[in-house]
Amino acid sequence: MKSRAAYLYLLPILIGLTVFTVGPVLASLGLSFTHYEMGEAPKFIGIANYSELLHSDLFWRVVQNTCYYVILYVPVSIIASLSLALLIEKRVSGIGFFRTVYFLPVVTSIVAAAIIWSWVYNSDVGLLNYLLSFIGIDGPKWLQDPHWALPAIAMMSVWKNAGYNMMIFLAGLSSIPKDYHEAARLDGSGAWNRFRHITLPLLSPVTFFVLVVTTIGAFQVFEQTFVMTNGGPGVSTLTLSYYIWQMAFKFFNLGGASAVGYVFFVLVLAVTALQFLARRRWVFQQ
Amino acid sequence: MRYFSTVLVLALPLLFGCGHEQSVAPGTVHLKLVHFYLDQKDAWQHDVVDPFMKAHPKIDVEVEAIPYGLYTAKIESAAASGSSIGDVVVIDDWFGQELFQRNYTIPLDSFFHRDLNDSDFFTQFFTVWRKGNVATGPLMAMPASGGVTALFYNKDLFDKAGVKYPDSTWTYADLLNAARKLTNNDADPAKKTWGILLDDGNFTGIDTYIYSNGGKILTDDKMHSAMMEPATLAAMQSYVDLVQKEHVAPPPDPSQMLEQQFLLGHAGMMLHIDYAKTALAHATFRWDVAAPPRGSAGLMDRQNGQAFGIVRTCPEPDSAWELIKWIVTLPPKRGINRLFSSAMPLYKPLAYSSDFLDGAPKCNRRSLLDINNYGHLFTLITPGWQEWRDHGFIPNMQDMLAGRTSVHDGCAAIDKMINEVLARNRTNP
Repeated sequence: MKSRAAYLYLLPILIGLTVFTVGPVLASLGLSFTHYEMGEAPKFIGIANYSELLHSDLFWRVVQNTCYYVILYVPVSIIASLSLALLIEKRVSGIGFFRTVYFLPVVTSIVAAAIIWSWVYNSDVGLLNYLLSFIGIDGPKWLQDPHWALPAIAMMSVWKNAGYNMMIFLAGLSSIPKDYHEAARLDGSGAWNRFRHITLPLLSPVTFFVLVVTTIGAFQVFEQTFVMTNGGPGVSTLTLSYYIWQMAFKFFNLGGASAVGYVFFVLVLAVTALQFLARRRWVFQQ
Repeated sequence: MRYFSTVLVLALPLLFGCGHEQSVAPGTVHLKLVHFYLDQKDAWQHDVVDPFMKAHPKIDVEVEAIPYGLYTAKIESAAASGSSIGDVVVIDDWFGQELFQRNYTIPLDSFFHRDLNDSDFFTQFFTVWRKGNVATGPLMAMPASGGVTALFYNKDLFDKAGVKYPDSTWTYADLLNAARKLTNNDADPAKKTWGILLDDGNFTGIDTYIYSNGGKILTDDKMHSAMMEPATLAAMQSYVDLVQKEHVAPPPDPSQMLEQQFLLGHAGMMLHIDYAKTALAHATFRWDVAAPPRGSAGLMDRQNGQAFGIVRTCPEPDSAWELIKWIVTLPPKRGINRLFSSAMPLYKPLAYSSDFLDGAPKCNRRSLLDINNYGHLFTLITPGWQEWRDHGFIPNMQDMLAGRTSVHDGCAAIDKMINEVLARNRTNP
């Protein structure tokens, strides 16, 4: 009787999951083998969508852009988050203010933030180049130069998301027993050594979690490129999510977009699998 | 009790999920008008719908105003999935053909010829509302307003540089001369001024430039690219030269819309579709508009605008047409032009009224109306046009303007992309 009631309670979420998640996932797999422009009957075309993708220079450029963004963003984001967590872990007066400040970008609308950062990056009247001019640096044309546009977007994303990972690291840091640090200090160990040999290993399960989640999130970058560059200059900031959105909802090529979606899925799956395989080499299990 | 609470929990979402149909008196037709003029929502109700319902007591109109970005997503998705967002919908030119291709709206030729006169409208603007974007196609939406490319200019900078304001006699040689005088290469970015801001491929000005200077982006039948034709290459080269050789225009900045850059007050001119005037309403400098200059092919301007269509699922097309007819033939009345975001009404009595000509933001609207007398309008919309623009035209145009690729190579890449997309759309119509 109890289990029946439990299933009844679960029913709404199960229905939602089936209709809005599992169903579309399976449907898009089927659609990826069709020519389908919404409103018309899908036409089965086998692997033509995948074949077209593999022969498309633009698609490979988009994959390259996305991977480049992930490589730029993930390490910097993790280092920045961990650094912030270490800083605000200190119990000093006014630290609550800084915690709020660092977390504020996380709760700020990404669209509003992207628009503001477009102005910050403006090469003529932007704040960043203005500040750089004080130290004698003639800043680049951040969002107008194909070499700088993606790093600039990655930098903005670090600012936007560092606070979120910072909170996770903070929780991880608080779970490390103080005794270890005390003992090491008594043995004459310095701050760097304590960080390297105690904090980092004991924090590694949290770091692994942050790495996986941040990497997956980085692959999905969309709003920043949508608002700040529209994929430009040229196609230098055209990323996979943006490319899928364009194909599906701008060009109405749902079959092609589904195929890109599945290639994207395989790519993310492969990277995540690699991360799990590498886990045993560096993640400390107590 | 436990079962009762379980059933209640399960039933609540269903109860809240149930909507309610608006009740109408027997014999009354109910129509839903959906538009994206959100900032004019009240004006649409008071100046259009309420008087219409008063004049047509048997037609009840419900109005839904949706923010523009959401509107386009909703209507395109609805068209794509074969569903409906309303009975009468406003359509922007750039997504119209996508809807017409799917027969989302019904042809209106018979209604138009029955009730309205060609001579009362700027019919040059009708082509883009015909299925297939050809003059012989069925009229799938009734045009209400039109847009043309305009030459925006900063009067303060013109006065400072001692340059005469542009007028309808201007050629592109005049534009270049003015741009040279307006350009000031001050080392201080805050004091630097550019002669002109250039569209980097969004078809908010470059299209008019190319066609007016004898080039073409598409062949006349819109089946192939014309990017590699000598006249097009020459037009493209002269456009790129404004940045790379003459240094009177800045390289493209994809992070800022052109009108936002113009608002900074550092550019003397901007070729842009005239809707940009609403964005300039609060500019801190004096500005005005003129017709674009004439090139070797005269003045060729790309037509765009907004129209009203009857969705094919509408059960009462005759009543829906009455509403559309009412909208597109609104009598002149103070402030009425704001209903269409200050775009040019295609109904001549309204267009030539003081309401439109003197409407806010104040600028030389007459110069844009006059384009109808000597300019020629063209369209570029094809099936898949957004794909060849976004993946071909814009990125390569940005590369050409920034000097990262030659005009020949950039045009060749655009040419390839246009032909690929058009061929694919012919194969899978």
